[in-house]
Amino acid sequence: MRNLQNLIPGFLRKIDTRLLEHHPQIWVTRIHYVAFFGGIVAVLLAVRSAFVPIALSDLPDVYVNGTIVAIPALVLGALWTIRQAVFVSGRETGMESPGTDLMKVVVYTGIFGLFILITPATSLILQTRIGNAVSFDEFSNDIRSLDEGAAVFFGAESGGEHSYYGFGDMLYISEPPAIEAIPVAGEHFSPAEANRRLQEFLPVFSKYGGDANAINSNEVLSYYNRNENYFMPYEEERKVRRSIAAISDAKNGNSFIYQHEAWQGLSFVSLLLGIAMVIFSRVKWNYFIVSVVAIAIMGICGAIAEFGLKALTGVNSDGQIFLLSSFIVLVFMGFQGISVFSAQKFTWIRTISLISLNMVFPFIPLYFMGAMEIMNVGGWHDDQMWVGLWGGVALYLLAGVHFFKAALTRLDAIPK
Amino acid sequence: MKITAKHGSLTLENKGMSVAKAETMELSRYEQRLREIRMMAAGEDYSRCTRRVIDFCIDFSLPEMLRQDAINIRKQYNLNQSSGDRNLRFDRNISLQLDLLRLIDEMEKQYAGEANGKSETKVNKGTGAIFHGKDIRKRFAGNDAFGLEMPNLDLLAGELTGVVGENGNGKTTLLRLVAGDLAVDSGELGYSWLESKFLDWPLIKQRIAYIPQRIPRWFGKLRDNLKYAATIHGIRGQENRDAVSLVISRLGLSRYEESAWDEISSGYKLRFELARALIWRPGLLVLDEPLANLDINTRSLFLQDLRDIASSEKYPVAVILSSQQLHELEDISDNIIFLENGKPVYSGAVGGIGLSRQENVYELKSPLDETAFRTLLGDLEDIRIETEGMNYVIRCHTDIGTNEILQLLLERQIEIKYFREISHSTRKLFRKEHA
Repeated sequence: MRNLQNLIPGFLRKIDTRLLEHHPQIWVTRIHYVAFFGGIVAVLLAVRSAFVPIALSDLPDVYVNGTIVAIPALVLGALWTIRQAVFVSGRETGMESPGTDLMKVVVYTGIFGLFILITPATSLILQTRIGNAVSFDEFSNDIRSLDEGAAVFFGAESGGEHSYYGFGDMLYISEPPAIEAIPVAGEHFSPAEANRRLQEFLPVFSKYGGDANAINSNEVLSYYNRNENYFMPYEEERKVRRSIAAISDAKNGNSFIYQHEAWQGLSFVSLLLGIAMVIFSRVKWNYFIVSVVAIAIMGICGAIAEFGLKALTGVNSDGQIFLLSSFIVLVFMGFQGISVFSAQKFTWIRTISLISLNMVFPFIPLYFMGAMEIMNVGGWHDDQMWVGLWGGVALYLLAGVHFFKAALTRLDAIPK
Repeated sequence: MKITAKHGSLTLENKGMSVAKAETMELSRYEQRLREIRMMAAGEDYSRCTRRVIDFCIDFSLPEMLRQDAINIRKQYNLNQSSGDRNLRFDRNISLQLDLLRLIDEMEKQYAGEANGKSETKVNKGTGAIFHGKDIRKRFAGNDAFGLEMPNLDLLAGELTGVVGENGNGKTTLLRLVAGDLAVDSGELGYSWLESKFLDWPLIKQRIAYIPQRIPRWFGKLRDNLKYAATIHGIRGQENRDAVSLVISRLGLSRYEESAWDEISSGYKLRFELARALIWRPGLLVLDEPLANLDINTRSLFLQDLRDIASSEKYPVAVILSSQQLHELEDISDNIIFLENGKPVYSGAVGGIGLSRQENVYELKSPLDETAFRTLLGDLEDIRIETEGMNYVIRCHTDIGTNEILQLLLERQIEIKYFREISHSTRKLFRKEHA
């Protein structure tokens, strides 16, 4: 550790001393270190991402790259959080002024932002480069060639219900300039047309990572003329589909960090942190257990309602029942918080603090929502996702600030 | 047997003190303290002298220059002590003494320069209860439920209150109740800085420093932690730096200011806790078994520091502490509470113990076995002999004083390894069957 301290530049030490002697509430957040070293890490990752070779036939996996850096970022975030528990000024000094609270909200927001920055430093740049690896027109033409060629593999017999998802069906791009997925099944065209399509298909198939040599064009045409299906080599087809999906994601701006699975993971981490905080802070366990039981009950009720609605009417609520249940939990927690504080002098700021503490927990219903989507029962539309995500982030930030204040400070002040 | 002075050397000591007191009656507190410090310097008691110089700087708000000199001299002393070379240490101590005397002269000049205009700092000792508790009750759940009952408890600024008793009799419970770490079942609690009767715990705890027996781990460097403790209590900027430097020097932590938790010994961890508590000048200091892990020298030094700090003229602190080091605790405490089965058997001034006693009690250790010991003293009707562990306890009429007992032991050629009169100590309250 001593050696590591030598890496801290002089100006940062001066800032550290200044903050320690004048602004202890900011000093404990270590925002100056997080900003400096987090910034360096983000720049290094960004530079690395800028130089990762991009080949259409072998695109780097944004999810894997993002996750690799997200894990250490989360670990650092957890360590940072634990450090906050170590230096809890309120344990000795009591409640701070609303101004100090507000300042901490800003600082904590910045800290979370910096931690979050580490992930997009890799994934966003990588994704942008993948998106720009092929022009829109070229990509559009390639999709058309792939979809038209794919139809040859199925022949006339593959019409009707026996539909086949063309490569273009993987596209999310629907706004102008639009790429339309060409209906693959149910068409029949001349052998000459089939041959032309196939000759255009194979180089594009190869361009996006598929092995064209694994496809015998004479055999494909022979199958087509006999109105029989020719099964594309599965692994080769999968490679091409993955490339198309990756480029499609990139062009649509579906960044890794916007994927709600990541936030569900975060909510899970927040739960673990919550448990850790309870252990560290000597918060009464019964309080925590009651909270979790309440959430579980609400989650189960929400799930029954969600499944029930689907079974009876065939309509998906798209997880809105879950959102509702999470807010009911919130209100419940608020009342519980007031009861905990009933032994204390009532002030609004204290009550709000404890309610905010509980705002970590509604993430759990959001986690259920992810499961619902996987089961195709509920799910999020894009706009709901945005509201849910940023609303959740805001709650998380608030909870992060007040968790320490409310849980560690106030409850610690009450004699057991 | 001839009746003599009741408490032997204790009386003489008291007489000596009263003569000194009479001589210094005419002196101001400033002058008295300076005289004490000068005597310590002359007597080459540099450890205490350098500590008291720093206390003096705090109590009388001396100018920055003198404070810095005091800190430097204290640092110099600590440096000398760490030197293994006796000759070098001797030379350095001569230089230290000169520096000390020069500083004391400067302090005197400072006083004279202000032509007696320096306002006397009021000694707040005994002027008001920092904590007042009445009919405090606490009962724990369980089959073998333990309960604590404390009819009355006042903790005054500048006074030390020692809590003694056998293990499991409620010492820690009492301290935790006072510190607000444990809720009372019933009873009244009052803290002098509360404006209403409502127990606003966050507000209460702002002025209580509680050092539990098991010191919680801290992170980072010792100096940073002290700075942080001061800053969060509103001591910022230059004032923060000064306060940290003073307390580090005062408690002999200079060598460890850049150290981490696992780089310092238990004794220094406790000193650090004391420094952290004192830096923001609490009204009430609660220490649970602070002497448990200290060696005999460190213990004595720590208690002396505690006594000096509690009776600070500018920032007097009400101190309550528990310990098994009975005699040492009685030596420095103003009040003592002896707990038995959760109830106070004695609660009051240390000097009040045994005032209405029926007998004198002496504790001694001898290499003689019990039979031989009893044989040698067994013919005396006025004396009862008991054994408590490795010690013998002699109980006799109040007319038989220390001198008579010692004379008797000498006459009968009884070898003694240890002897103490415990008539005025809570020691005699410890029951044999619990020992």
